Amino acid sequence: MHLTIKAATLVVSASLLSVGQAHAEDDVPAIQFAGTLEFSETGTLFVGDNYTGSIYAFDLTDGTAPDAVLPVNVGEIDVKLADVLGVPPSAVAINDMATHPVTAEVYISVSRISNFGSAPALLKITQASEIKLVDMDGLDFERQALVNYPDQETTFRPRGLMGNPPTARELANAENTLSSLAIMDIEYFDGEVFVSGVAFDNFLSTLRRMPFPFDGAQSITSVEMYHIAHERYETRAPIRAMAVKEIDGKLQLVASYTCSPIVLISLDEIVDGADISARTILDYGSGQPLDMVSYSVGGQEMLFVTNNSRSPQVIPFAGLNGAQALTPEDIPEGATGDMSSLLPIGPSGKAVMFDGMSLHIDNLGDRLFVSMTRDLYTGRLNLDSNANFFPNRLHNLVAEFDFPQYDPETVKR
Amino acid sequence: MPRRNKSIVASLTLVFFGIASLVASEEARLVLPQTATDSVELLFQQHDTPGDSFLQVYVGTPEDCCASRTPIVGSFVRSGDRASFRPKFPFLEDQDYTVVWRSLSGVTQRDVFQLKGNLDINAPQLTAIYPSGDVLPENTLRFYIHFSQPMQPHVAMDYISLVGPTGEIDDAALMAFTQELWSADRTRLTVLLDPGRIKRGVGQNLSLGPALTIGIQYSLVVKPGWPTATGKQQLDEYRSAFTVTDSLRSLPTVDSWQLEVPRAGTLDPLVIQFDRPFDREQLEYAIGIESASGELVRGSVEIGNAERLWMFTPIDPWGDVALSIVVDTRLEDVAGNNFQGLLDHDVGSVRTGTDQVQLSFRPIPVVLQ
Repeated sequence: MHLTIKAATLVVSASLLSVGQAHAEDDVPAIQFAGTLEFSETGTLFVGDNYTGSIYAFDLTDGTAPDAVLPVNVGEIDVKLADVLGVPPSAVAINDMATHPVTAEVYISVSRISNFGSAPALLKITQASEIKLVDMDGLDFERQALVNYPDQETTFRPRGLMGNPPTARELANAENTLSSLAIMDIEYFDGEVFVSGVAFDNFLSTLRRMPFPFDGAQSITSVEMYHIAHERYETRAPIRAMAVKEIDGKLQLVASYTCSPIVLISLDEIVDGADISARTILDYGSGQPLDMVSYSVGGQEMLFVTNNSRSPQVIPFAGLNGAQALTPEDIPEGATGDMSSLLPIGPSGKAVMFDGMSLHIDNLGDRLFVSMTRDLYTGRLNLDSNANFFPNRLHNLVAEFDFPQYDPETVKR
Repeated sequence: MPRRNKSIVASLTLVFFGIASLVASEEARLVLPQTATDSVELLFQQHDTPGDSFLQVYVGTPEDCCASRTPIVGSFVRSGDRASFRPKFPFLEDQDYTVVWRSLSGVTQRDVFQLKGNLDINAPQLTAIYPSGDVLPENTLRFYIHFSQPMQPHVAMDYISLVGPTGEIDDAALMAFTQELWSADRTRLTVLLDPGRIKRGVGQNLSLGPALTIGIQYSLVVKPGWPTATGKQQLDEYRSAFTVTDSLRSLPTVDSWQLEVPRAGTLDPLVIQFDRPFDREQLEYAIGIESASGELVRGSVEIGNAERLWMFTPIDPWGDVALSIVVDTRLEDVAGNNFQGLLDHDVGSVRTGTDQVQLSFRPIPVVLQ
């Protein structure tokens, strides 16, 4: 799942709890930021708290599955979430979205911004497309504090394009803290939690690995990868979205980065203190990945990778088997940017139609995607469910089939 | 806008105003919240409260409400003659909310309320400038400017200037930092006179000369219009005049301090008169009173006489025992000189290394009559 953090004045506490602390049932979570979301297959919800530098695991395993998974659709979801939270839409930052694998309820993490601070909130869209606030204080939970966590002060370096001074919006982007990228994606796999993001002090791009239920143990590794479109090895920019799959006969992490390579990392490489050299197997050339959803269509295992400036990319897993790890020696002439004739390079899959921009997407049952989609024409943010083999609506299109003269019986040749 | 009365009757039904005798059971009062966490309450005359959806609160004004809108999440309590709604999250200040409520007969009412923010009801004040003396040494290093409320950052140098006797502004007198030196609550700004002009024989000192000239009167001027942190209010003009006297170029030493020793068994203050003005903020914490065993004597500190006087009043009466005045040697005078060295010292000159200097005194024994 991808995480976006809006620049905002936020109240941050300096309190730190001990690592891997166990909680009595009457404790309430001291969560300060509800960010990245991830479900285990039975319904434990992992929530990244970028302010306290910890992963919360909320027990939502008592839900029951619906007889059939229904599509959920909520127009202007941002307005409706704000209504429930008692603030105008501009005061809600939507941080992430994930579907409960059993109940098919869609969970949304937000920051409710008030006059002098912000509060985390978790809401869900039921199978009846109703919005409910999830009372985190009433849930059983575990918490794992992250080691080498970045401070809440260090911000990015303002960067202008091609020698120009940074614009006001670029300066505002640079005011985000590094810690806002400290928990980019959480992946639960077979009793373990993997967390990508930036860490301090000896490395920036980091993979963390810890058992669940949490027992205080965690390993931390730095990740280096060759970025083809940037023509350099990179160690700072973090993994944005990831999935665990068996590739070439072993379990591997498939991880996507900004601008826009995808790399493989064997799980057995992720041991505490390791400096991992990820294998770059493909690169699109530009854009920032948002989400990476594993799904199956037509009997084929796929990845659906969304991006803030490219069409979604559908990658068959079969194509990743035997993929060549690319290094500078493989591309001596270099390949920078979308206009390079060499890009996309590797088993990049297919760019597919998606009407509007999906900011958050996940599976909804086996056959649907649920997406928080920005409509291109109205600018509205809508929660839509669509078939995963064609995750689109048709209301913004006019094609041959829409004409009154169209007759499917006579036009075929 | 003044705050509303606590038990305001925001709305009564038209029926109640018009033909009250016919529908006495219609009487109901809506009590609106006065703070962000208050409930919205409906008070009925009968011990018979209505059914579902008797009270809902929406974001926005009644004009925006309430078709296709979702009410705010919160908890409802119905008991006796009272029905109340408490929001899960506090109400925002300066945000319109619409209460939709039903009287017993089912007549729907709409009322709007807004909690007024506490900030910016009053215009900001510049409450103090330190050093506060009207005579300052030629090598004065820093000013502290205190405000009554948080101010907008990153614009300080657009408003603050050092103005000479004929009204000319010395653009290079004050240090312009990318990161302004604010207190955490952004009500105190530290402004430095450029040390490069104070330290003799370095670049700015040679090219521009010292910013201050002995015998001349200057003003630290804050232009009108500086916005508060929220941008709703602006500061009025403020001018603080001072005359420049000889520079301070000797190490501070406790030997030149004069004590007024208190009497044992009393709460008389211990008074220290300094030979020079010290840094106002550091005086708050850099001097302490310790017993022979190193225990700190508890009490309160007052600073006066343009930062030339430090006065300590104990919480418990003074004992008849010897005590030490312990001074952190990093305490600076207004020219940035501390007990370890001068701000303007020769390159390579070694600073003295002790962390503390001490001065002993013993409260005066009181002779019983």
